[in-house]
Amino acid sequence: MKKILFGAMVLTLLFGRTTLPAPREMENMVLFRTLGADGGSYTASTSRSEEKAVVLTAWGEDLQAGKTDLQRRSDSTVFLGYVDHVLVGEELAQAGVAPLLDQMGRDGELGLGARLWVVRGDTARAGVESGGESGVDRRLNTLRLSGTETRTAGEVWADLLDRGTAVVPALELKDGLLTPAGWAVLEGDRLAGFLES
Amino acid sequence: MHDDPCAPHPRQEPRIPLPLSLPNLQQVFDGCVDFVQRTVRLSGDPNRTVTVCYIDGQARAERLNDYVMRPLAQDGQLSSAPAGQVFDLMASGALYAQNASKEDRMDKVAIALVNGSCAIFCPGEDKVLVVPVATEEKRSIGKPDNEPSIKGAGDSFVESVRTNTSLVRRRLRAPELRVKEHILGRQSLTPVDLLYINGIADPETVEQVSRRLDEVDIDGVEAADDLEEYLVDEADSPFPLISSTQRPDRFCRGLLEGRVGILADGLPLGFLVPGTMDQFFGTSQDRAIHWMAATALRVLRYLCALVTLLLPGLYIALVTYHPEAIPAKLAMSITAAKQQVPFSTIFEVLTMLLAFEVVQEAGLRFPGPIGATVSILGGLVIGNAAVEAHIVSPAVLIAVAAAGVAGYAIPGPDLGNALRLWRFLLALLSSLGGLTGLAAGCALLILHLSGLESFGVPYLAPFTAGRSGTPHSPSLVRLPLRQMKWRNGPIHTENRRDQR
Repeated sequence: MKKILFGAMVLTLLFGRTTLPAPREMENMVLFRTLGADGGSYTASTSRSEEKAVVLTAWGEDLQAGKTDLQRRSDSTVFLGYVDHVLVGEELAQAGVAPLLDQMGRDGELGLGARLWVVRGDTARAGVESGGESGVDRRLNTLRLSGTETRTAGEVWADLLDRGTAVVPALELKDGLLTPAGWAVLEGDRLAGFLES
Repeated sequence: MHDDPCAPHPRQEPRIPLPLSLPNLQQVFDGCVDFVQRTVRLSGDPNRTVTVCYIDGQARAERLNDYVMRPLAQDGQLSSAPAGQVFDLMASGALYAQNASKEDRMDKVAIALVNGSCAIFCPGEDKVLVVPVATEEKRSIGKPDNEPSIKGAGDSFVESVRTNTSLVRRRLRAPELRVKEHILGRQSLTPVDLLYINGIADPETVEQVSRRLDEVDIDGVEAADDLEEYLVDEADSPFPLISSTQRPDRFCRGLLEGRVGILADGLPLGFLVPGTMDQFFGTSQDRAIHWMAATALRVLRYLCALVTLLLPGLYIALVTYHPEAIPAKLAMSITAAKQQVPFSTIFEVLTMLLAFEVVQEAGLRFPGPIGATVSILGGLVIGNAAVEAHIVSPAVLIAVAAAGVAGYAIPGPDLGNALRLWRFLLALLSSLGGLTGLAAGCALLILHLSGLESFGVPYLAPFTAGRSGTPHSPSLVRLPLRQMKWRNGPIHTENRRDQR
């Protein structure tokens, strides 16, 4: 009986691989730490390790299409599982963040655990690129650790679903540096205005 | 002759079907340079002689000379007694021996000679007087090699079963300690002693062990597995179902728990049955140190068992299939380290596991000083060079080394060997299916372990509730001794309480 079970298990693992995750080698991955979403474009940035941070911009009508385009533009496997911060440009926020949040929730890698920010008066791409060679995630982590309140995408999405309204921390670019800029107020899922902190 | 060469050879009874006589005994040991026979004149009387036969090397010269030859040659009583009484006089104390028996079977006399006795042939007698004069050349009692003692007794079992039983009797002076002998091995005729405390050990277990010993029909008992594999219920499992120890104190502790002990001549080990998994995580030091420290160390051993079993497979599963489960900084560190390594993670881990085993085996075979050098070369130099040459990544080396070292924290080497085998299997399953494969492997392992039994006691019994309604002390951790009033739960014992 045990031998039958063992054989069945090995056969399942060998030939029933379609339902199991595919193996990937980590050294072939590019680990993005920050994602910026504007209407139709997505900009991702890695963190600086031994080499300077990689910033990549792709286009797509939605997040999945954007991911596919990102992969096409990269010579390594794109992995969004370590994205800690998601920047939303003001234009996209005015158009509505629900599709983005919905797709983040359905994405197996990204998830809703990343912290959500609205870039006030600028695009998310500009916000991501402001990090330069060191990567913008360093700046965002500094803001978080220095006491700036943050909210995860999951918390924002839950508020939108429960109450129809939510607040998201806002940032603005000043002298090429992201700085806290109050709160973005979402009604429905669209940007209604800003509150000063 | 039997027709089927593959059938068990029938036992010949008697083993040597020759009538007992000196010429026949010479025939039995024909060609043996160590067979010695000596004709001795009783008190110098040439008309009264006896023939003494012995095996040189088995009989101790001083004993033979002082306790047999000297009285034969010098005792006037033997030379003056009537011819028909000489034999009885020798048997009843004229020779200075602790024991003397009259034998009338050739095979018994021959075996007695091999065991170190001498045989005295008297003319006109159809029996032979067998007097034990065995040499006591054996390894002296030293410290156990594999079970060092930090705070406790420092003696160890040796190859002589009688010396070993004396070590046990010195610790368990109760007359209820029973020592029953079985002879195993058609060619080795190895004395195997069964030890148990009457009134504590389960009689059914004793009977079962005794029966299994009698059923062992092999040529010789030369290695530990010659006993173990024949006594266990399940020989297909790599997990040990009988515990063994070099330490008499640990052996005696097992007898006090109600287990049945086995000592075999030629093996410096004591075996204890039934064997349950908790035995292989405990040491005799657990009762020598404070219960808190002992419990903490035991928990540490359990964790080490999990580490040695799961770490390589877990590493493969996380790095290859589930990188999102690894903390970001660690993931980036692993990624950076693996940039120039040409091999896949699965290949790296499996190769390093094999290399670890090879270095370990090589270290065992070399003599002491060279063995240490090989270990240093293999572990440090080659490992370091392999990392610097980007053949393996440092994370893999750390994972494999941690798993390997954790395996040595487990006191029972037999359990450690079984975990090493399963470690490979789990790593393979992880390489096929990630955490799913690893979980499936763990489920299979639990299924396997839960089906094992040792003399009627489930192998995982200490992890379950134990025998319902039976008072017992937990064996997974070490409570204060005052609270451990009951014997080990899963072991069937007649007497449950071991202290007031």
